[in-house]
Amino acid sequence: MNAAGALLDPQVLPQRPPDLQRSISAFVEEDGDQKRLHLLVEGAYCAACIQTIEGRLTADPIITEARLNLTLRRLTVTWKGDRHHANNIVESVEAIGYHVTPFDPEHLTQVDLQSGRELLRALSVAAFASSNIMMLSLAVWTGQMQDMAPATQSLLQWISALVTLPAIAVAGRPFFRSALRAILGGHTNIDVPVAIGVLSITVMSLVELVRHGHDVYFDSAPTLLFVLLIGRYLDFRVRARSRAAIERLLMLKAHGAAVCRDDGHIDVLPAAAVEAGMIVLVKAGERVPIDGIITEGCSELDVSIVTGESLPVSVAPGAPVLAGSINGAAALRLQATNTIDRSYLAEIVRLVEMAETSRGPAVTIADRAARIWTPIVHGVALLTFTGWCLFTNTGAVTALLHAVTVLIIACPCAIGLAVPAVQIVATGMLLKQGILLRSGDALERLASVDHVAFDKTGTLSEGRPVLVSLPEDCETLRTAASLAAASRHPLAQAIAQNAPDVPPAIGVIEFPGQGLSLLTALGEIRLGRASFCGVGYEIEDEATEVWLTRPGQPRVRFTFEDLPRKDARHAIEELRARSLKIAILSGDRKPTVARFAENLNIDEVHGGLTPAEKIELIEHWRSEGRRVLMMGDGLNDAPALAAAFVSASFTHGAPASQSAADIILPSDRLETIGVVHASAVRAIRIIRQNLVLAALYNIALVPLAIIGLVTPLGAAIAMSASSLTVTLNALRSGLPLKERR
Amino acid sequence: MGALLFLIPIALLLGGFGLLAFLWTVKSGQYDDLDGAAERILLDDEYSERNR
Repeated sequence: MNAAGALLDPQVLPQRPPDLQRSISAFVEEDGDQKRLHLLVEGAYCAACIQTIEGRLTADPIITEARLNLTLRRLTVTWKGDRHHANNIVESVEAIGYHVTPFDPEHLTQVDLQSGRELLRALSVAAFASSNIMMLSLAVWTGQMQDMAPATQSLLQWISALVTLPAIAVAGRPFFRSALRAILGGHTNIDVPVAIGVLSITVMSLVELVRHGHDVYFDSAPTLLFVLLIGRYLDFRVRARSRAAIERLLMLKAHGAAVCRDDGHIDVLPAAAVEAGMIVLVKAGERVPIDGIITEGCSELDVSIVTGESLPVSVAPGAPVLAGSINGAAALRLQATNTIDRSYLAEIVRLVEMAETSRGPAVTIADRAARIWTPIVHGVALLTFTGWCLFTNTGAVTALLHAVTVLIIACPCAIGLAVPAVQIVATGMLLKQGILLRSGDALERLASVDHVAFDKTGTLSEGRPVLVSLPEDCETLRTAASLAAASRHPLAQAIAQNAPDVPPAIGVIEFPGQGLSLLTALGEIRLGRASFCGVGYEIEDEATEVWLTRPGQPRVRFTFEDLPRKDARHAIEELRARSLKIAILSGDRKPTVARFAENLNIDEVHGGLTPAEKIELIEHWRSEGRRVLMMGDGLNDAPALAAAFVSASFTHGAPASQSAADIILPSDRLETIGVVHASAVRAIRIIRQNLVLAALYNIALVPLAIIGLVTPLGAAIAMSASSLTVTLNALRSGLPLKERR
Repeated sequence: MGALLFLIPIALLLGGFGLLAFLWTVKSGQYDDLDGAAERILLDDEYSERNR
């Protein structure tokens, strides 16, 4: 047994695999002599970071440019010469303390930057057109009161037309495109009434201009676009920021697999490139990159993030290991059993996709409003036209004019702003607190949930063992801690945490899967499992235990539990106070889950579930009409997260769970779900108010338009006033939340 | 009336120059990193000269 021991030096941390660089030079973009590398940077927040990173890199004479984008935390470095210089670049940035990961910009950046630039271009054109035309329109309106010559009026209006037409062609493009897509797809969205409004305003104004009529509304169309584009652009920025943060989380967790070649060489390959049969080396503290069977080494694996089991599992040669587990104690060699696309992870991803298709897209409030709004407004316009044709003898042209005025007055400007304005403010406020929302409508769905289903391990609990039975005398604890401090084993760390001032003892030997031993002048001290410490009997209470034996002293038993998070009780009570029902869905063993739930006063408990069973349960709930918020951080929770009505994961969670979740909460802060739920409920209340406010303006003004009393000036005032009201009201969703009493 | 004939084109032209300048800033990527731009004003001039 002694042969398996290894002298531990507490100062030595697991190192990054030595030749990770190989995979990095594959990320270099080549443009003749010019080389470019894109890196994601973790931990850069301020001017000092920009200066340190860029300064360090530009001091290198080969590097021609280094630019850190602080919004997206992306670093782009260009240099001339050898592509392997990428390795030195990464090393020198890591040396100043920033963790970097190379990425391929092909996949994501361009889309974001392109759509942001297009919105800005459209916005600036709309701003130019609307301000200049408003200037000319004001001259016409005041001129009409002071007998301006009709020729001058028409000159000013012709100039307006010349500015408006190209401006609409540029600034209206995002709306026309989306409206066209919706109509071709056989449904309607908020852009359909916007597009129809803009086009009808412009066409009618042109006709009126030619006829020397009064109803020239050239100012309305660019103003409408300008206001809506401001909303779109802000919305884009908030979303791009959340999206970039989520992508960063996922990419920073990507790990290479250290593959042992026959010649003793170790190559770091991307996990996707590992083939079945290859031997992979996993050091202590590293994440297992691929499913496999252990060929060499004994260790303990932390599988909490994969299966939801809270306590470490001992493994020995022959034992199967799942990708994503964290190797706790000693280095392991695994033989890969499957390629990545046939691994457990791939199975989970398939379940996630299935769950997403079966859930289907949610209909947002904005869509619902558009679906009610569009037919009503167009119906009223049609009635106006027929009414004027039937009951007056002014002719079809005048009737059409009045019908189009109805369309303009019932302008969807405020309706179009009502929802996004609130979402921008609310998501922006949450973003500042580190809460990421994948989509704006996540708030809508969250506000209407009636059940919350929690995963246990890592979500409600700490996800690691905590020492629950402290020995009475301090000396025993200190002795145990001095041995424990030398090990990375989760149970040892749990002991060491209770005496943080105790230094690790020199000469501790670790027997992986067994325990720790220290030879002293008096004899051997052992800390480990019962058999290792010579304890012949087992206490039947299922608790995880560690024994301490010392020469000449009675042995001591330490027990551990995966305790609830400190804020779990508070978070659950807060959710209950909002009349939400609580349940636990866990992959951990049933008795453990039951005991845990009892501790937190939760009645509805489902333990021992596989990922597929979790989906089944959630789908069963959905068929009962329950709207479930699922919260989980593990790989095994990902399918359930995708199946639930709305879902939340954590920044410490497994990447698969983060990409399946709608909301990502800051690591280890469970109580933030209360804040998110409260602000979601408030945001929906404000959205409803906004829709009502917008409708009120229309109810007041549309009758005037029907009987033909609305002027272009009146239309401009109504539009600005309603947009302003809606926007100001939306700002309330960013106010700090009131404390619940 | 005569004044309008050249004042309005001048006003539109001036505005148009502003618009073109803005479109150029968008095209050259000056709005791609607003957070970074906000922080960069804190950096010393000699630093930004060197890093040009």
